[in-house]
Amino acid sequence: MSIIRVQSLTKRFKRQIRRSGKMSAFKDFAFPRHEWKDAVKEVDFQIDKGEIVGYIGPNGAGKSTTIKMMVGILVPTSGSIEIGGLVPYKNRLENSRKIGVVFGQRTQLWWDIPVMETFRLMQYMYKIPQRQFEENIRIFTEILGIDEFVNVPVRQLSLGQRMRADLCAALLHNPEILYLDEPTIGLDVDVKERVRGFIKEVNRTRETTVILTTHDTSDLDKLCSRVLVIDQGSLMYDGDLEYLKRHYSRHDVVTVETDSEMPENLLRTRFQDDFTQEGRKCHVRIVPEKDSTADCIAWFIRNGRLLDVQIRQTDIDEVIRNLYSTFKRPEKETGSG
Amino acid sequence: MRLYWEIFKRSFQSAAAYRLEMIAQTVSSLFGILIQTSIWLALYRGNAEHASTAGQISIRDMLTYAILSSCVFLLINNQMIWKLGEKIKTGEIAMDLIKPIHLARYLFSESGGLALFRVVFQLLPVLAFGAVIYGIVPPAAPDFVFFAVCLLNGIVLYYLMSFICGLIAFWYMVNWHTNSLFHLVMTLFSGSLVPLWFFPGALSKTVSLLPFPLVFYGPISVYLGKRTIEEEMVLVAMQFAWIALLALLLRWIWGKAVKKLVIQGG
Amino acid sequence: MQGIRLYMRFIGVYLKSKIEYDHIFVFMDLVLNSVWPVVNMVLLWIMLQRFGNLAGWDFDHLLFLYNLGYLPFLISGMIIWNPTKDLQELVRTGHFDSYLTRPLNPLAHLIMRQFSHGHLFGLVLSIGMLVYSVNRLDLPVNAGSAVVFLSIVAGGALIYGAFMLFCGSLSFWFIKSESVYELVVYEIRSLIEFPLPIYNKVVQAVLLFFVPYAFINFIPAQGILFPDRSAWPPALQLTATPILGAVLFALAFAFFRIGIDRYQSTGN
Repeated sequence: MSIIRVQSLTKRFKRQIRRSGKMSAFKDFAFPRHEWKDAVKEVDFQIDKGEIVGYIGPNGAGKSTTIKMMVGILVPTSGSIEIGGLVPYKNRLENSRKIGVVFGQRTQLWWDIPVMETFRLMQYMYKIPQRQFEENIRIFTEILGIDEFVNVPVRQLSLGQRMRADLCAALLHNPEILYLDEPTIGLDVDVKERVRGFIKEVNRTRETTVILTTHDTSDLDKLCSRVLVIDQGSLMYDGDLEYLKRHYSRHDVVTVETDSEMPENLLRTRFQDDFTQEGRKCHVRIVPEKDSTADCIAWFIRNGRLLDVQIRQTDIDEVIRNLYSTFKRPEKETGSG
Repeated sequence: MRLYWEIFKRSFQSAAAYRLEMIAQTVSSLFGILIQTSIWLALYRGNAEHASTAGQISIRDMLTYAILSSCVFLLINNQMIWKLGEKIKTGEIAMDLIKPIHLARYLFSESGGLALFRVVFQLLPVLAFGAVIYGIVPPAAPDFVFFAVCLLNGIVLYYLMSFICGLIAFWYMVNWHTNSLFHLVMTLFSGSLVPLWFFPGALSKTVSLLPFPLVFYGPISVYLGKRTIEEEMVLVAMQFAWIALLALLLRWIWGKAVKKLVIQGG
Repeated sequence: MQGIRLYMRFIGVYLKSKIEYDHIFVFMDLVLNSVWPVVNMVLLWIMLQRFGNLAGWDFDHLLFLYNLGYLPFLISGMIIWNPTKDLQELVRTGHFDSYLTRPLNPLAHLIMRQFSHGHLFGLVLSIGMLVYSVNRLDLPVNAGSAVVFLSIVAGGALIYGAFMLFCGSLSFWFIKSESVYELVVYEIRSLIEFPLPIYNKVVQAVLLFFVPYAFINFIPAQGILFPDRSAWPPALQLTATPILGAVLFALAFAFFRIGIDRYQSTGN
């Protein structure tokens, strides 16, 4: 059952074309020229309750424009959006009660007062019953450890602490949908882990739908089962993250350490150019169509004395990069769900 | 020397980028003139002259005073306290100490470039406006020479005072407070709005011992010919004395500041 | 209304937090923000020692006039100055978005995020000066006059607020609306610190019909002190301010709303 329904969503902006050359500033002022730019073009997708979806794309692809329309900040040029049965920009107040938003780079907390006081203000704002409020604070303390800094004014918090506080503030009212815009940017690794764990937990216990935009591919890996990829306003991919990895990874790399250096011409007969040598270590690129990791290792066992093997699977960064590089061809891919 | 000239030029050029701010300041100046002249006209209401500690002052004198005061303000106004404060807060001041350049002279050249820009694009239009709408009293020749000297001294004095206030940021961080306090004192005692000759006798005498009126009241009263030659010479002498005093004070504070910076890291 | 209770609560917590962490700076903030009217009054007093009166208004009259114009400015300043002044920055950087994701009227939300504590002391000082001048001028003090007085101050605050909101909202259309804001909120405002008749006809017309700040202090002050100098009936002189304030603020708020609609359709 879909909680988010987006159909033929389009957003068109009017941009002034800036001239160059003599008298350009004057001409721009007196005779302005405009062009239409489609930031979002006929985007269609549906999201079910309880999904954690990654919404990614190169910079300027139209991600934040889509999110803004879903959240109710921006009005679409054409097409329809339904969030929990409501049209967000037409029912801004009601929609706001059901959603939580976290912007990675700026805080939604009150700057000068202690964190706990911001939470209390939000309790008043969203009319959160006392029991729910206390229960949530308890859970937040347990998983995110916010009790360490809950009485400190927001402007004295570190980035990691602020992000945790922002996340809590967004979830205090048990929203149905959580929008996260670059939530882990600039955070230490251990804080990132806690934040991800928290999001997963909230999703598990409350069936909160999560929409996540990020450039951090480990976020995607650890949280999302489904990924929507947008580029130049159009939806380029909508499906499984696993399928994406399988389909867009080029090769794994096997690193083998032998007890003595392998002769180069021997390696060349087996692996042609798909290897590099570092003393007793060989790095072999396994190209899926031509070879397999198992065969490669088997060969080393037959032809040398194996001391150590490491298999590095395709980095999701590489997957995304490969995916983006295919965007020069205007095709749309759908993966099996 | 060549270096400072380059800084002066560059400051002049980059001032052009702040077009909007410049216009806003000019407008502000014009409003100031509007208010002051309206008040003086209303105060004088029909009387051509009024008594003061410097003799009879005519309404024309006061109108000229108001216009000149606004012009002087445009000339001397600087961001010194704020700029220095920022440099100290961010620690940039440490870099300035390493460079083979004298900070005070550097900032002076920079202010100079800005001041020249102001003269051409703000002061002259404001002066022209004032002269056309309200009329200015022309100065007598010898008075004008003294006026020029006094004005120059006044500029140096104001610069020194601003610099000293700016350095206070080494000890007291909130530089808008220092700025505000300085402007407060200047507004009260410099004669920029109310000339000292209208102050009650005792107050007038006390305040004229301070350096503040030497920036506004001093030069302008000379321009309007309200002083005898002896008085003018005394005035100039006082200015030089204060400049020397403040320069020493600046040296002393600067020494303390550098010590603080070097020992504590700023 | 619940929103007001919420705001009151915020102000309490905000002040407590400020005092706990920043006491010396808060103190200086308060003092320096409030000293300016005193400086102005001192200069005025000095001038009047020599000249007697300004357009028929003596020092006590002028003290009353000045503070009748200043008090409403402080009140609207504490509440609505920061958000309207910063609106330009918020719109430009896109931070304004976060004000649209909450179940709250964006203006209320903007107001509730801050409180310009710096003007508190000035408020006390201004009230003090008003009380002093009311005393000196022997003005009637009773329930009726108190109501009239409060409505004039409230009306004045609404007029200032209206213009702050209007100029701030210009940033939904123009990137560099700061200078207009400063012009209207500071420069033009400084004109009404003195009695209207000292200015030429053009300026008077502006202050009465275009940016009607004259209604904040001059019209009611004249109505109280010199009711015979105006052609209008005294009742009108005293009630025009709150009515005008309500109307102007409603218009400014409508303008703000239109600005938000524009923001929502064109991004930023």
